[in-house]
Amino acid sequence: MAKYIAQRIIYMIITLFIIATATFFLMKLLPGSPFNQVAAKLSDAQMEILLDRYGLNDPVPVQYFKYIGGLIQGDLGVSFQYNNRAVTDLIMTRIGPSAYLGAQAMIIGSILGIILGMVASIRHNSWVDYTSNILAVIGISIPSFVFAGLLQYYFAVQWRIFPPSFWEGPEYTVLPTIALMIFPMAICARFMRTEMMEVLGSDYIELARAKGVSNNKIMFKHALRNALIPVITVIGPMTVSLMTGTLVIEQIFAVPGLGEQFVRSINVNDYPMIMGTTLLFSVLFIGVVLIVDLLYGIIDPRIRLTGGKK
Amino acid sequence: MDKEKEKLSPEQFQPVDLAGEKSEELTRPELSYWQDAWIRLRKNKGAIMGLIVLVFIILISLVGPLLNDYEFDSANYDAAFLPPKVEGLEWAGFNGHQTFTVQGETPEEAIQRGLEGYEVEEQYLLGSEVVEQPSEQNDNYYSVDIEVDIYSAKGFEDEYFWFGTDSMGRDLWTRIWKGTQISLYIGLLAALIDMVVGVLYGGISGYYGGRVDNYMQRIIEILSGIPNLVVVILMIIVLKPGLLAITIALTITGWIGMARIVRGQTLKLKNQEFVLAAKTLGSSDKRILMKHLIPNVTGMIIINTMFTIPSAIFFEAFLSFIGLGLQSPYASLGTLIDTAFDSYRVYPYMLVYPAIIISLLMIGFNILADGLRDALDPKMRK
Repeated sequence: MAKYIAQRIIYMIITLFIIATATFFLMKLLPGSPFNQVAAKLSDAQMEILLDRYGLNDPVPVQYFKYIGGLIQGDLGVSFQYNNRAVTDLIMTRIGPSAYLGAQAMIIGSILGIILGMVASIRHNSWVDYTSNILAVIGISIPSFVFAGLLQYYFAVQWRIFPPSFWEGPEYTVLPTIALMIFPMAICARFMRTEMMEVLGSDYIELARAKGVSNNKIMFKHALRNALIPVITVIGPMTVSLMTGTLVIEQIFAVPGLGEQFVRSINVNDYPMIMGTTLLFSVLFIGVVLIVDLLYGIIDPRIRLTGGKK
Repeated sequence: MDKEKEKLSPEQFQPVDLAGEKSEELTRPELSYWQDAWIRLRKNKGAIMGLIVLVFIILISLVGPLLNDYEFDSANYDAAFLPPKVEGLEWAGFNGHQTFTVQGETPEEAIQRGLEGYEVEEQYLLGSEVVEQPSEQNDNYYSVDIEVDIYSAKGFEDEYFWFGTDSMGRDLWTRIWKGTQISLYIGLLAALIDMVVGVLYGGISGYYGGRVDNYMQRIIEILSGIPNLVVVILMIIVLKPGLLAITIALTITGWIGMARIVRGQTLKLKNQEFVLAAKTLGSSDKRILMKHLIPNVTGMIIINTMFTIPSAIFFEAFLSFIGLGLQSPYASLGTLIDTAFDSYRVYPYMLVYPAIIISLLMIGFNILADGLRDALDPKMRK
């Protein structure tokens, strides 16, 4: 187990290193400089000073080693967009709303999804099952920004139940959370239904029934617990969808989060900010995948992480 | 006990009724894998509905732009923001009437200001309705909905823009179906590239096994750690948004899922007897891979490709939404939705049609793919 974890962490570091390197050189390949917009107003000497200050006059390899060196110390460079502000600092001020929104959507979405999937599998082939299936297909298919648009139009513009945008209190989180949680809910419901059906058809459920265990006990003590284990595996795809989702949802609802900042950085070529956010997303993703894999092995001892090679 | 044996005489025997053995014969015609899958797919109402919706959308997207005389890129600023109007469908809301919400201290003043602000002469005012009385919240203004015949007001009485026009006066019917074509094109092309790369990579890795497989799998392990989102965004920033750039960006890590599935299947299949037989008979590696292994994995390949198409369409729309999509005048469903978002509170029709079409496309592809999975791979059936 320890060997497996060590191996995984080494891969994780290699992957992150490759991402950092690739990002750095891709950004260097880009034509123009981040100061294009102000370039016309500056004299050559001023431009020179500006480039010097951000270290853009050094040879590329020097810049690269400086960047990687900074990374190891948690320094992601200085944003071009906001005078002199450190990227790490900017990310810290922006991450709050995104994390709040993401966590809220993930928790509510997966709980609702699990309930939906469970009810669907218990009432197999009934209208509940069909409805939850249709809901799952719709949730997986319809892009989150279409949902967000619908929610904003009806609940905020037409009926004025919730505020349409900005971030000033709990009621401001309702619509973005709903828009963001549809996908996690749908995949959870779907996965849960399949797993639950499989468990309900297994021998130990039959044995429990034969013993005369009450239906509720079978459902909650035997079936639900066993069906929940594989559902952990959808956390990976859920994290990805939340990251993708925050980019558009925060933009639509004007949430001052990381996603909104990232989109703005893309549009103004703020390379250090793009690189920083990209790395953060990667760390998050790789970390979640690793944790899920490890958790899975711990919760269900039948799964052998190190085995498999004969 | 009396153990006297009974004497057997030939008369006691009767010939077996040969017709009886016929019951052992196959009564149904033999079905190939594909015929069998088709029968199963046909029984799946959802999948067939998805298929019909998809065929329908694909057909209109090809024929639609030819049905009227407008070009997707011909701008006419006088005709900007005209709502949908269809001859003969006026009763269903396609009447070209636009509703504006305007504010004023009195209802009359609100209407007057609205007409001036939107440059509509009074004769084209069709109706008005006070939607909000003055209150603290809205600074003591009346909110009034005014309905105007905007086509006549702008001098386009005889024109019919079926889905309305955008901010540059371009016909949305033509643009939406052209956009659908482009979204489908990106989805199909990305899925095709993913399929080719993934099948080759996975096939080679699984078939040769050993050290080759080991190295190829390490590469995949590292690549799959990189979030798709990050790769796609970085590639688009570098390559500059365009049809090809978007497709390439989508496929850079997109093939990994396919490669993994094909490798798994190949590993399983290559140790089976029919491969051994082929090897014994002297078939080359290429022949075994192409003639024996890949056909057996076809079902899985098709299923996976079918799931790739909607996710590529979604990703393209997503990129457009964060400002990395196709550049005007070209449009995809994503860019149309993105531009519609700027003004959908006043002109909801700009958002409604592309949003409905992309949703139908996604649902169609997803339920068809689900159906195909159940039909092609009975083991995975729920």
